[in-house]
Order: sequence, then structure tokens, then C-alpha cells
Amino acid sequence: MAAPIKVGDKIPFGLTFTTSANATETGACAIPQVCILPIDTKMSDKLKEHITQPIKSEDALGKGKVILVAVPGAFTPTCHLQHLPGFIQHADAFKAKGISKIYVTSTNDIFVLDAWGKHEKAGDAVSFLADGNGAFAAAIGFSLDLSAKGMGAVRTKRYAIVVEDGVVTYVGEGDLDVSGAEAVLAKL
Amino acid sequence: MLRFATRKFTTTTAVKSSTPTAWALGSIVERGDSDFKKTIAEAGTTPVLVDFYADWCGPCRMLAPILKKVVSIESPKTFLIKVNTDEAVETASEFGVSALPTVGIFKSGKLVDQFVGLRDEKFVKEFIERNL
Repeated sequence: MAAPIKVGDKIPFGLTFTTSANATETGACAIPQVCILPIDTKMSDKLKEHITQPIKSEDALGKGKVILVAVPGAFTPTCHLQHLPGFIQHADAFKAKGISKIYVTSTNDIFVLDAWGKHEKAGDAVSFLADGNGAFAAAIGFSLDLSAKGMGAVRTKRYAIVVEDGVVTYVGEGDLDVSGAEAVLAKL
Repeated sequence: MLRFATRKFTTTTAVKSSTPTAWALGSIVERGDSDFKKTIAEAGTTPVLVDFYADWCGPCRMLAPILKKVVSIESPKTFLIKVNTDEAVETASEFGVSALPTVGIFKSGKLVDQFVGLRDEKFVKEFIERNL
């Protein structure tokens, strides 16, 4: 595992996250089964809306001012009650401070993350990035081994980082006093 | 001799495209490039569910019985037109169908909503309800 990421470091490029194909469509599963028609044209924008696209770390976090929030597990008690809702509630305040996107990640698969977001009525306030194999968590030095708790060795620590054009400007790893929405807002 | 115009009300049986006006609520019909637009026009303000599918597409085969069940309920609010995209190539292309299944809802001749990919019964029911 890499050393923990700190302010001034660049976000590691080349890592891939899975995203939902229909984040705002309630009641639909993250990646509905489809057959792509073998037509000759380039993939239309309309089709892209319905097909899940894996997203590279440089594309999600490399441009603009964004926040990446990580939770050890979707639906797990602390995150469920306190961490995610804060970012949904304060979405407009973050936008006002120049944040173009709030990403939420965990090592769950996208089906779980997407269902969690829909359950919490996230809408388009946050976007979910599934780091299923924990590769991104390892690359920034925030892997978490929860096998002692029966939750597997490939988890991520709880954190919130602010990234500006691919460079980290804030790292809040730990409890909500540093990784929660209010803590991050205060630092912007 | 008196002549009465008679109307035949079909219910839930699938009807092939040889019967041009059998589009009563709850019915399932097959249409192609030659008669799709005509049927949509004839439906007027009645909402019409359209299933763009292909025989080789697994998710389409899984969606078909779900659509059939939801459309053929006791008090049907719509009817279903099935369009085979391998045969009705022009119609599929006109409505930008690039993945299957694509299910659209038409009202007064216009496509007002659609979804792409397999869904469950609950989703399909809500999809129809919010577009009635």
C-alpha cells in the first residue's frame, strides 16, 4: 500500500471506478441488462446515458474543484446516519464554494452504492464511484482491513479530500469531525 | 334492410398486424415499418406502450412477460405495440433505438418517455402510471 496521501500530492491516475447507468432513475438497478444493437454509428449520447461507463480517476478527479468522500461501507450505521446525508443536505453550500462535483466512494460494488444513494434520495447531489477491488484506496494509502469484524480485508478508511485540478488541497481522514460535510465546508 | 356497424372489442390476446383496428386497451399487437405510425395515430390520446425488441436479445425475452402482465391488468389503461427491430429497421432507427429492450410511451403521436434495459414489474407499473 502507498503512503497516505497528503496535501499537495497528485491524485493517482490510471485507476478505474464503476458508475451507475441511471443514478437518478428511482427503482431501477444500477446496471440494467441491455443488448447493444450492432449499428455502425458512434455510441450516441442518448445510449451513453443508459450504459454504465467505467470512469478513470484522472477523469473524475483531475479537473476542477471536487470532493471525494469515502466510507468503509454503504448502509453501515455511522455512514448511513451521519456521513452521506450531510453531503446531500449541504450540496448547494458546496456548489456556492466552487465545488463542481461531490463523489462518494467505497469498496462496495456499484449496485450497492447506487441503491444506497437512491435510498437516501441523493438525486444528483453526489455521484457514486465504486472502488470494488480497493485499488484506489490502496493507491492513496487509505486501505482498511476489517476482517476482524467480518467485513473483509479490502475496505477503505473514512475520509474526505478536496482536489483541485488533480492536486489534493485538504485531507480529512477519520471521524466526522474531519471528514464530515460541516468540517469540509469550514475548510473551503 | 337495416345495417348496423359492429365493433369488436378484443382483450388480452396478441393480434398480428393483419387486423388494423384491434387496439383496444389491454391488447398486445405487433407492428412494423408499414403500419407502426398509422397505429400510433389511430390511438389518439390513448397512451401507447411500445416495446422495441429482438428475438436474439435475452433481456427482451425476460421483459416480455412483465410487459404483458402489466398491460393486461383488469382495468387496462394502455395497450402494447411490439416492434421487432430486426424487421422494422426504419422505425427503430427513426426513434434512435440503439440498445434493447427500449420501451417507449406515446401520447397523441409523440414519444413522451422511455427506458432502456430490463426492469422489474414494480418499475414498469410506475413508469406507465406516471405517464398516463
